[in-house]
Amino acid sequence: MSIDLKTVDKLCKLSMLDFEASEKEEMREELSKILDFVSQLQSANTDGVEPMSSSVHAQSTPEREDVITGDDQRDSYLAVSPKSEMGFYTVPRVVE
Amino acid sequence: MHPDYEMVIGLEVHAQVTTASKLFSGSSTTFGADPNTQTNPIDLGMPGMLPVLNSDVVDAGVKLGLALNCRINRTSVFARKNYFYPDLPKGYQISQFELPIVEHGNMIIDLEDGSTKDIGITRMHLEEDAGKSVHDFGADHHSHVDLNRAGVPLMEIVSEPDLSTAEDAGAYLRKLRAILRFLEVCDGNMEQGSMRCDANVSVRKKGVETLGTRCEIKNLNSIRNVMRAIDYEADRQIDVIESGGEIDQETRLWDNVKNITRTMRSKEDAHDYRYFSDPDLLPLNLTEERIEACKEVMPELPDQLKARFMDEYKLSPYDASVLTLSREFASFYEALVAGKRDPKICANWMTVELFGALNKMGREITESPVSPDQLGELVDMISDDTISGKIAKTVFEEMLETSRNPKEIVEEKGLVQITDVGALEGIVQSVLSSNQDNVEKYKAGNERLFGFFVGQVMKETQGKANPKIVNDLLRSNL
Amino acid sequence: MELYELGLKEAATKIKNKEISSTDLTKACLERMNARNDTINAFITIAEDQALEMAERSDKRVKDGNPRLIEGVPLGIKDLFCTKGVLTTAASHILDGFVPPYESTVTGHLWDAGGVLLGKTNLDEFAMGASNETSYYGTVKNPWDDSRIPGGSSGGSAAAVADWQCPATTGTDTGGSIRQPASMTGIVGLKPTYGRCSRWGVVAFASSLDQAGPMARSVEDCALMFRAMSGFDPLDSTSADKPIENYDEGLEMDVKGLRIGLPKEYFIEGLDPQVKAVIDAAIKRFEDAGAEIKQISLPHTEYAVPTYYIVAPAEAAANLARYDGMRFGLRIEGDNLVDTYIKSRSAGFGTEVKRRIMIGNYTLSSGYYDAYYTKAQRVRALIAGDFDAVFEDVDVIMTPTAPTPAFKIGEKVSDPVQMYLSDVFTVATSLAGLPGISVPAATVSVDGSDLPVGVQMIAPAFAEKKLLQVAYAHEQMTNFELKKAEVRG
Repeated sequence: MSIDLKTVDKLCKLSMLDFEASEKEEMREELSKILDFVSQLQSANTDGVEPMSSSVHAQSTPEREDVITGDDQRDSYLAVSPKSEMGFYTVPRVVE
Repeated sequence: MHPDYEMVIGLEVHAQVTTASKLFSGSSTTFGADPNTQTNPIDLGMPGMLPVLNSDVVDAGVKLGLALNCRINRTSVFARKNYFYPDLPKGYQISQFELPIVEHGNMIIDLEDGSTKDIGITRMHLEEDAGKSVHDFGADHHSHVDLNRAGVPLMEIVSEPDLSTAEDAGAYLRKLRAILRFLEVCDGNMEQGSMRCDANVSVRKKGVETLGTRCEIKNLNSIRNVMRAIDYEADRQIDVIESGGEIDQETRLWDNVKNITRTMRSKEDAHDYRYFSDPDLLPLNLTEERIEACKEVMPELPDQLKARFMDEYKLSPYDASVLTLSREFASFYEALVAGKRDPKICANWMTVELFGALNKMGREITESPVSPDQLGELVDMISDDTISGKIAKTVFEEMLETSRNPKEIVEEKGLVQITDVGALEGIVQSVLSSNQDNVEKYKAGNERLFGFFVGQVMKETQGKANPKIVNDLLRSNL
Repeated sequence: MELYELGLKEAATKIKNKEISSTDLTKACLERMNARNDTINAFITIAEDQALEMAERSDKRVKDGNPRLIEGVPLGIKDLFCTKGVLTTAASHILDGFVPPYESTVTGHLWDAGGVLLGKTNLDEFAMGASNETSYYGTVKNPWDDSRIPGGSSGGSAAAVADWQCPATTGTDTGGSIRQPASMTGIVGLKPTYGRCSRWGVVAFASSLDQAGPMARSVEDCALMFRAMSGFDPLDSTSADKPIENYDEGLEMDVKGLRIGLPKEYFIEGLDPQVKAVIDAAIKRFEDAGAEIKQISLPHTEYAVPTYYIVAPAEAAANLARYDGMRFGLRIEGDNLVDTYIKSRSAGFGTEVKRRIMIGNYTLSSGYYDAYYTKAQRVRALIAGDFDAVFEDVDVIMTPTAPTPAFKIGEKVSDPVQMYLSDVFTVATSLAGLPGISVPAATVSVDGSDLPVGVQMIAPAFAEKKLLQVAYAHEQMTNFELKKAEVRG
């Protein structure tokens, strides 16, 4: 179950990651091995089985009342940010 | 537009739900606050933060589903839509994908000629809004992000591609906005961004069954711009096809300065959103009791109100639809008619004079300087011949400026109509005798001079002469 | 006996009775932590000032006559829990300098119960690992043999307890990250039923699997720690709205008639003979005491590890998208927005984390989603179904916790699949959301070192009381001694 470099590049785009050429080749090999390993699942008979996304059995997702909670703590949040200006998060230019 | 072609249009509307707090967190949703003062760690996507669903948003969704005759899905699922952007703190948006809360509905739209069209509603789902980027200040290579809007609840309403013209699109948006406002789930303010619209436009030769390639148009911030953009885009696509080219499926931006659409994203950059059900939430299961409870508090909706107005007031379909675009219009109208005035005259005064004036002033009906009672008084004074229709318009302008009662204005300015036949006879004769040469010309066949005589009588009476009496007198004297 | 050798319950009692002060106990732990951290590397942050402040406040409460459940007892907290005002790193470079402006629900409960924060323990980066070798802050050493790993991902929490540095710690378990290190360091570690402990404020790895849990040197201590940590949280939509009990009370149980299931799929031919001998002996002790041993089958066991390594990385890929350098953590400026994302994340994440993000995105991506992700979710349902079926006939299931005793540092780190197989006995329990506990059973000799081996017990959902009782019974019947590393030599 081998992955090619083109697929690795696509995954890099989706993951916002990049690698040096040799690292990329290593990653390609390791991902191929992992994929091989998890592909064992294909032999399991799952006809008529509903996918299970959680072990929680509840009536419905819990809901909260529509009330405002908390207060303006902007300063403490901006304090942990890499860059901020005049109350905004400063980020590299977003080109529309 | 080229006569051999027709347009196929579908609209996607994002409507912000007017709840106090956000979809998955307790932060306030008020518009216009200082940047990032309505954010908490959940909105900011900080480590370890988790979403909890706002129950009022669910109720709003059910009500909209009921109003749009949709199937209410007893089970719907929240899914993560994954992509990177600075206004998307978690790196994914919590939305609904395979199982939206409601789907397969329809909405009737009202066209100017009085006809209606039935437009399919594919689905409506709940999702969180993203923040906003601003580029106005600071260094060129930076942008600034305000996350107040991140997490605000949205209803995304998708229409079937059943719209065929820009007019259809305008009517669709007006009707949808009316429904949202009647339900009080969204204030439908496109300028402020609480209601946003993307248009999917394609063209095809008339009679062809298959759909052409469509383009998505974004950055449409008013109903008028939606209509302009649709017409422009259709023409653009037809030009491309007529000159032998092919339409690229892409997203285009409406430039409302140059009034054109231009390329934004091409197919290559199409996102793979990797939707999967959000493991931080459980499926939303709606009980019959809950749906019944929503049904019970449904208000009278625009179509029902329109039907009632047509029946009770014998209004034309179009007039009825305009007056029922909002509950405020409808209550103003009903207070104006007040069970005693001519519904048609009242409808005209509202739809033509009042709406025209309010549009010019940029005001909502709730900010009208003239109240229903005041306008009613004015209408009464025309009906009982106290003033002429023309004078009434002048009085109306004064009312708009000063909010004073018409009776007051008329008295103060001495605008009461002259209906004394004797007095008017005298003036008519005086006008005719001072304009003998024109009388001759009129008698010789120049019918248009009649207006001149009317004008002269009006001049003499400062416009206060009853026009009908003047007409009768002139006819009998000529 | 040194103060730092006190267990959780013992310490809480002595402080309440004013036999010792929190300040003295806390100082003793801090001293040992500081002395041992270069060797063991169990702690990323030692919060000395905070600890002493909290200890002082606890002493005052005791003096005023209103001590709480674990008043004054100092604790280590896995550096995956957001602690307000205290650096929280998830053992990753990408959270450099991140001081949370909020407290996780679980640690909040501990402080409300009177606990004292000693420091943040080391872990595999973002809890992804089974050996604590992927931490940005260096590998943790197993106190039994410092050339070996302590297990992971809660390696620091396990080592701190096993090395007598503090009475108890919090860990998290997604596929075995509390149980496996507990087994490899000779301590008790409990993964509660999914939903028992709130995930609010715990750095997320795999949302449908992550669970916080206690790690301590005795079952009673674990039970007390669990009691203090657990409870319904309205801020967590997956939190179980079920009452919690005084788990540390009424642990005695007569095992006569207790039905213990042994799943044949966990006792296969290739099982390490030393591990087999240890678990066989533990089973025999139960049998001799009157328990009924039943052979059972969990037929989909062979698919558990592959299922886990599809589901967990997929959830992780999305959960780790927020680490983008925009609002907190590491940012490395690039030429433009995308370049900044790539530079920050590539520098900030370690290799194992990157691997899991990439695999996660692969199995979620268009074209592969049905074959991998949906398929895995169906198999997950089958695995959970296996447990539901057997719990009709047995009260608890017993299995080895880990396939081997602690392995050498560097032994598996370059072969990801080998490392993943280290979770073979623990992942199915996580996929089914059931509670599982590892208790030390015996030591075995490997290359001249004495290494601990634990056994695992699994119970039905929300049956932690029963689970702890069975674990306690085992503990009473077992002669296991946790010696100090220096004493062991």
